[in-house]
Amino acid sequence: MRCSGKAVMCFCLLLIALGVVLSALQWPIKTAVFPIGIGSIIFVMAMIELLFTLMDKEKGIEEKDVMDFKLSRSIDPALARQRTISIFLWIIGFFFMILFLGMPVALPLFLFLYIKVSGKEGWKISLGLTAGVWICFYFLFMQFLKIQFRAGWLQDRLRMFIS
Amino acid sequence: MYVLAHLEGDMLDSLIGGLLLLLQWKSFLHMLIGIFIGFWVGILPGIGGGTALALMLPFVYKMAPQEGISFLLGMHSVIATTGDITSVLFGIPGEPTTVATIMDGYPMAKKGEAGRALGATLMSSLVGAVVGAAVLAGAIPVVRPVVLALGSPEMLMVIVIGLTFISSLSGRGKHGLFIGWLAGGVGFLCSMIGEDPQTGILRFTFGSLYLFNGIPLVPVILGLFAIPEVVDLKVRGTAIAGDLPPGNLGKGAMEGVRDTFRHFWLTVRCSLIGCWIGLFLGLGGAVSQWVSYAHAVQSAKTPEERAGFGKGDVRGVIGPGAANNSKEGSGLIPTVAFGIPASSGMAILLGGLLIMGLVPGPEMLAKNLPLTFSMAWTIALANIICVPASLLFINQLARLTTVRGSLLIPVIVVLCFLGASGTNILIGDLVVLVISGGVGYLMVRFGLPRPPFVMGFILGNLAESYLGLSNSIYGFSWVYRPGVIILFCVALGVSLYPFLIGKKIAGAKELKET
Repeated sequence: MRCSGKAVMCFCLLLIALGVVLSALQWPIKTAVFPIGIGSIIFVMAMIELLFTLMDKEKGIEEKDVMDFKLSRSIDPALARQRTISIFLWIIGFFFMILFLGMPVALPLFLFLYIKVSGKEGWKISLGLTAGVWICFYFLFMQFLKIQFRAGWLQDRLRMFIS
Repeated sequence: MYVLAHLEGDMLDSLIGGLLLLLQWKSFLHMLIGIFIGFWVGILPGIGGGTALALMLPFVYKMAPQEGISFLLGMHSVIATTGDITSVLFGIPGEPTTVATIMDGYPMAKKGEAGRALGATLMSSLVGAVVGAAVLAGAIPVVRPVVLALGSPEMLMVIVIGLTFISSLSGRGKHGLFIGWLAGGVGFLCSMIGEDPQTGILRFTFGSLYLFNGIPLVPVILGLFAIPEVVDLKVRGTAIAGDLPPGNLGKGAMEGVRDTFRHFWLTVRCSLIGCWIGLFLGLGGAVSQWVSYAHAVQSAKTPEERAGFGKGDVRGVIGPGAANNSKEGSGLIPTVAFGIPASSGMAILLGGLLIMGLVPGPEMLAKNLPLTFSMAWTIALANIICVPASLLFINQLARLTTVRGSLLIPVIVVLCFLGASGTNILIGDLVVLVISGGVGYLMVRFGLPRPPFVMGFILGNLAESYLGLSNSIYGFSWVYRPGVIILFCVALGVSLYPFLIGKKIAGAKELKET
């Protein structure tokens, strides 16, 4: 038995398919027929795939020729894991920056922080690239396309507090 | 005979009249402005063709019909062409219709063949656009009975044909096929989120207003395809093209152009696939690119050749490139002939035509026939201008793949977020982007292919709608309709093709050995 990340993914798919079928049972037949049909098929397929993975029958399928983009394998796994976590944290961090500060503020802040802190670039490049991208963003999205970006949660709170 | 000869003469006059209309300096200038805007809209992810058309509609109020058509169509027809550039260079779809180009275009860029990939995709786009324009021009007199003969059961069968291509988009061997269908099924499940198209009952929305209309396509595609590439770029810690010398990157452009002509019949076949799918309501570029990519994969003669797809086979770039552009011409056929837009972009274009006082229907095929032909000319000419212009800057574009990852990653992430939020500016879109990014990474990590997932996601809702509609209108008797039977046979042929070819090759090998 081999409990890998892939097995966990198959188990999650299995649970999702089960949830879909159980939810669909409460709906009228017209609404439920597709979710039940597809959900049942996915349930069975996920179960078979899970068994294959646990029984180790198809060891290393991720290395096999799946017709899709492949992650680089030449990097030390520990370093790769560390970098993967780091970039996901940056992406999630950018999302929260947008949520709290709004896009017009979050965008230059994220750019500058990433280039300076994670990219370890010099001040000139960090400030120059940040300014360049922000100017493009400002003129294209805010001036030309007239897109009204939402204010951030913090700005809303501040405005409420002041008023 | 006299009537036919008269009609042919009329057609020829209108065809030449259409070209002359476009070549008037004002129309031509408007087309050039449209091409310039379309070039940048295509390169930037998120601002899709539909959005750009909608934003430009207010400007056509004061334009003459010919100028307005040249402007709008000139812009719209090059967006897919330049959208491929972003897909190849950065692995981010410039447009939702240029995702399939990433599959082989981005690996080529990583191998230092960005110039060749760009040359191939641009030239195949040009061939596709010309084929699409020719189909538009040629189909105008004959298309009416064909399109009107298709009911919801036939549309369902067309979708089934699309779904059978999942087997070509899956991995190698029985297990590869199995996980391809599993991924496609999961995509199908995700498409069911939101309001049921038949009864209006909400499914899997968890009380969220945002999910009432289902999960939006653009953030899902950006997350699934761009985020894993960004993660990999970070992990590698290099530029996209690794540590390759920058001097060689743009050099293969002419080789890419030659590749298009080396695989000319594949380019034409994929263009025709794009035309065929572009005709059908609601399918459009999102489907045609994958079907043509799958067809390109099917064109591989040996399993070894097939294994090269997804790793940087130039045919994987040519196929979607051609289909993306050819569908523009055919998409105009139902829009202009019947006033039925085949896609959201065409719906907005239809709005533009109405603003300019043009009524789609018989009038466009009789009184305004030169104007209709000028649309075909605009599509062809816009690409004839845009593609060489892009090829001129191919070296500069290819050099972007040598920019350090530390500078490129934040810009790509910002583009993804801007692209996902688009013009709706909904936080939900950003949540979907981040979640899809995580899911996309896990799919890549654990070998669950993304293309079948996207195919299932796009076609799921449509399949369900057409199935419901067919049952409501015809009961179960729709399965006996001749169109349904013919299209089902085509679907069967498409799904069995890889196995038949495999057996044929195995047989030939055995024969050779004995």
